[in-house]
Amino acid sequence: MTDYVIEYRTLTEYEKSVKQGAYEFLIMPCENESQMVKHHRLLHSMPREPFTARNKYGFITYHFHSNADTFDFFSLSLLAQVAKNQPTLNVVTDLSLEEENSILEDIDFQMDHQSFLQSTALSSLKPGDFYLDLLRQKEETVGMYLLRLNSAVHGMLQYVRGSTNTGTSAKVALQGGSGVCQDFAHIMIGILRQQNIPTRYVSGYLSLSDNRDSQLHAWVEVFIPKLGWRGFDPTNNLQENDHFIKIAHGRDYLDCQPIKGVLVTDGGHKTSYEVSVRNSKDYNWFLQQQQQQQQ
Amino acid sequence: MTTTSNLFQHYPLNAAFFDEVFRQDGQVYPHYEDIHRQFSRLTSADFERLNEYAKLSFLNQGITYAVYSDGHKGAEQIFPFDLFPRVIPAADWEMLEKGLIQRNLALNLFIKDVYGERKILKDKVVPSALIFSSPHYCEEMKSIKPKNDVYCHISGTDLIRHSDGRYYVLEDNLRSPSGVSYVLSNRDAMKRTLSNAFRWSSVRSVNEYPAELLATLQSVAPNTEERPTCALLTPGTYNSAYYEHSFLAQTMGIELVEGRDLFVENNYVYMRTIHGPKRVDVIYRRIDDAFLDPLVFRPESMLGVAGIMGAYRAGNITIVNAPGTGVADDKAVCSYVPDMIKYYLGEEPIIPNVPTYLCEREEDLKYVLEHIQDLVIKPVDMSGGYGVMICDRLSKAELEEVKQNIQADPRNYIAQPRMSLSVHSTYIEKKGEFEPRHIDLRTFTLMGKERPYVLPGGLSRVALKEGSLIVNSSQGGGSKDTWVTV
Repeated sequence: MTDYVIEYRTLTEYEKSVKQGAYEFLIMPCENESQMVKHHRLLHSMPREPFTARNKYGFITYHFHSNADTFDFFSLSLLAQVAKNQPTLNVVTDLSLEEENSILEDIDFQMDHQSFLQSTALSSLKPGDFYLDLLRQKEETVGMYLLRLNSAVHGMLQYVRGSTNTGTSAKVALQGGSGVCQDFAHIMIGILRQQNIPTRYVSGYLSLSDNRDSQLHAWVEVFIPKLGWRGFDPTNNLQENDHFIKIAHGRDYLDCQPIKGVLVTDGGHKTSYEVSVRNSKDYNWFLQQQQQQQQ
Repeated sequence: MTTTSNLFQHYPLNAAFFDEVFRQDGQVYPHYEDIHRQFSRLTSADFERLNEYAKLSFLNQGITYAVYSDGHKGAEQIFPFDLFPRVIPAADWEMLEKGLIQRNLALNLFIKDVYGERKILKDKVVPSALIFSSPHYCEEMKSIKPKNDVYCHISGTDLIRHSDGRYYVLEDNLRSPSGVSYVLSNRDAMKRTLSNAFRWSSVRSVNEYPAELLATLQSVAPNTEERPTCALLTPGTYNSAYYEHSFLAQTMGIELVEGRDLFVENNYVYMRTIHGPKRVDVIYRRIDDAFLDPLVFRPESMLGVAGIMGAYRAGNITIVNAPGTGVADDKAVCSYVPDMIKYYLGEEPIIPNVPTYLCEREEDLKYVLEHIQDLVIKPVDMSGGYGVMICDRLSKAELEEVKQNIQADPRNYIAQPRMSLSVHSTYIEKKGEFEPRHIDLRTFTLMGKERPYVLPGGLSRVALKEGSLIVNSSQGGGSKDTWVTV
């Protein structure tokens, strides 16, 4: 069990006043068997309080809808204390290859997991786009294969901040040879879904060992027959553990965008954001900091 | 005043098509006798006068539609109207009405299944690849349960009558079927023009439609203590169906709104009124799925309402029709509707589909390859209308190529016989007399909470160009009043 204090801060400044805007934030850590949100507070510059809504996979989003008021900037900061308990889980089962395959090939299974078996524009890869030995081999169980693939995908791209953007597809990232976490995730998704292995994109926070300022992270969850969903982080060649705090999952990045906005303004804008994940139980100290920063 | 008629004297009969009015021996069908007698008494000058009067009726009512193609954006035109009504005998209509309700019940159950348990896909009655490759499949709907399990509240089923005299379903329109306002205004024009000529009491009324539509909308409102508030969401005045939007809103007595008139707060939808915000319970939207919610679908959409999908998921608004219904009105999926009727209802389809051969089935493939000249070949993939091959127009070499393509990928092709649309006597202004022209029938079915309703008759669309099969208004089509006898 580890306690974290997570802070997400963003500031957008507009050249011209915004007359009407709607924003949706998907930044709140979700709650599941391995993580719990003990406290949280949202501070922002908008005149009205946000409301929450559920997205199509049930994750909580914050909505700011401004109809009457104009504004030149929008700042928001979320502080959350999260307790996480996720030992590295076993991914190898006692199922025989035949048993695994018969589950994966079953039409009922495929229909129930169709959302995470269908390729998307961002994640679609064809066998010609990568080496064929990255496909599951005849004698390989799903668990063993995932460990091998996680490591292989980790080696397929060089991690270079800014080398791709949120619209970069797995295929384009592979061709370029470098990318960031969502590219690693999309590549893993692209390779797995075509083999009927359900895979979903996960957004969240990653706690780095040295407490440096981090960024939002992306990894994947893969459905292993008999075991269920298991997290893999191809960017770091890790399995999900205590350091991974999940926000949401979806088919690809587009289902997990941290900020979506539609607004009416004549000019451009500049957005910055910061994330910090601290290994700490001292939520109150961070609360005071948040208050000061927001002012 | 002349007593002999010349309006029908050159009327040609063609055995290749079913003529709605005349038997092959030149006799008039009993349900047309009255009208035929009335029109036979008229000279072409008399008829011309009536025709002008009818046109004026449309102009005075402001019933026009916009055409974009001819350079000037949104030029208003009158939808050509033919004074010779199409008549459907009560017994035929009774069968059609049952068949339409049956079909739309099955389609609604299918859509519910696709976004729910997927039994029909798991049982491989409908191939799942067909569904999930459809651009109209809407993942959002997997987590939304529409009120009373109604997805498709308003549907437009297009029927044709083949040379065998039977009705067939040509296609389903489950998104925003339009045209119903013409049904009402056609009837209005007929009554104004020929008020004394007919026993109107023997024709089923269509005027209940707006009240039926409103009752349908109200029947699926989220639980509210007060009378539910409904609104019609239009893309705006530049939309070609804007007249219909304003007409329906007005006749139902509900607000006609654009996206900018609505907003979402705390997962409820409100409209701005001069008395302040008013909560909306049911949205009859005439904008496409992709424009409904810029936070969920196309972000650049200015036509929709940010946050409306969240309100819908929370059960605070009903969207009519539900997003994602288009997954069931694709041409390829259409061929499976008879199977859906058997699967969900355990019934035989009352109105058949245009027969379809699925090349993936071995016996169908054999038939298709042997009879290819008589068939229309359509690729199953989702690009509607493209790649359709009418084989009797192809050269030998082209036919061979088509055959090879089918054999290489049989799953990807369906084939249908060339269906001939029936013909109906239609006044041809240039000739000053009646001639047969091809027609089809768009019917309108409403599905509220346990209250199916089919508008008696529908919109008979007529291809005004001689020999043409294209009934669309943008390409020289017109319409007729459609009478269902009592």
